[in-house]
Amino acid sequence: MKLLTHNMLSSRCIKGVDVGYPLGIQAKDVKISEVGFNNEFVSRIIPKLDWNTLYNAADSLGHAGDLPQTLIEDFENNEEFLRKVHHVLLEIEVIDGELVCPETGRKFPITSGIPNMLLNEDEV
Amino acid sequence: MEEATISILAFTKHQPNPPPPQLGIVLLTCGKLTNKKILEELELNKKLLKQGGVPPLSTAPLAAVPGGSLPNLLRDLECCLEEVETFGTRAKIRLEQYPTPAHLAACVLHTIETSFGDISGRLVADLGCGCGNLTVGASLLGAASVVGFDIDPDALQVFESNRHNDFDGLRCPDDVEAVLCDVTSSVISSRWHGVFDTVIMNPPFGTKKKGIDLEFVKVGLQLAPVVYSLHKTSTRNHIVKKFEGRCQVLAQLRFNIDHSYKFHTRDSVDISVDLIKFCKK
Ligand SMILES: C[S@@+](CC[C@H](N)C(=O)[O-])C[C@H]1O[C@@H](n2cnc3c(N)ncnc32)[C@H](O)[C@@H]1O
Repeated sequence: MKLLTHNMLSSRCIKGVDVGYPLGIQAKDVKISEVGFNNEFVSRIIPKLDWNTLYNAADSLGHAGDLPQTLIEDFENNEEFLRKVHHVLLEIEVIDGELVCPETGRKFPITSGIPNMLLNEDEV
Repeated sequence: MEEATISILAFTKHQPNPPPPQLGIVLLTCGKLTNKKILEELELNKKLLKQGGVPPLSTAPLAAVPGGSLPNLLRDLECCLEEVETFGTRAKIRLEQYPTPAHLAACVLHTIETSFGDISGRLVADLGCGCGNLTVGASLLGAASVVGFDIDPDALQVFESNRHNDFDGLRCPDDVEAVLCDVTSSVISSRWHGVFDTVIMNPPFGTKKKGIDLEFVKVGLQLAPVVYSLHKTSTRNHIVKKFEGRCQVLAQLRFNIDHSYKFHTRDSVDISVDLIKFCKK
């Protein structure tokens, strides 16, 4: 699971859960791989992100580096910054671990990089 | 046949505003049309259209298109996709698991890229990604990132091994990932809405669970402004009515469901499938 995906996932699908966001991450195995950088794409995706969630996720994995805690202005023209965001969004991957619902504590396992978001019948 | 839903796709991605819908011609190149074979095929397609049909997706060898690397792209893409491992004998009928054949997947993805520019540099979702052949193909065509969604953990295990295949040193589609979930549930919640640029999919056709094909389309249109999807030609009229003004039948394809799919008694069956482009209003 990349942090871009983590930024979008929630547990609101569970019956009785109000917000279900952001999901906590308990990582046992994290992998860093190189992904081609696309300036235009990264600037386009930033406004769609929840910045706090991204920062906290990266931080909890020990990979926030010098990513600023709040989103900077004029990021479109700041390649150095865009590269940092690119790294955090697409190159860090949780291979093994769990996502945790902030309201119920329900755990969603992540195995071989795939978050399991399937729910039991009594949960929906 | 509702003529209004079919359009000329003979524009290139450098042309931001496509011409208004007229005829149904699918072009697999965005280079100059000097290739005799392609021209012949276009003529044939035009004839077909006058008779009220949708042309088959062109499969002409494109090697003679001058100056472009595109022809090789299509061939290379198909070669790579042939290496992608699929469901095999483990296919689950209940989930309508049949892979898009490599040749078809390559033609479809190549068309989406060269006619519409909707893959390269885009964030792409693949709904019902199965073992990931469309996902891998989109990645090889330069998608910024691809996320596949499927309900079957076994298929996604194969997906994981496919994404780590390096296609004989060509490139490893590492920039893709999968989420195990039911596409029709509310797991793909509003946070995902509008995040993707493009949705590609070969959804279950709805032969086991009625209406699931159009449920997939609906979810797709929440995720992205444009959805490219495969549907049984026999359901075309129904779909075109339901999504009037918001869909175009791009091409009609022969889809070979091969013998490994256990419930078919014959060795293999050809079914007719439409490639349909859906847009937000
Ligand atoms: C026709 S197969 C296509 C597989 C792959 N995309 C391809 O093109 O080869 C349909 C896929 O949809 C998946 N599927 C069926 N119902 C689903 C659901 N409710 N949610 C998510 N995936 C589903 C199946 O597991 C299967 O992999």
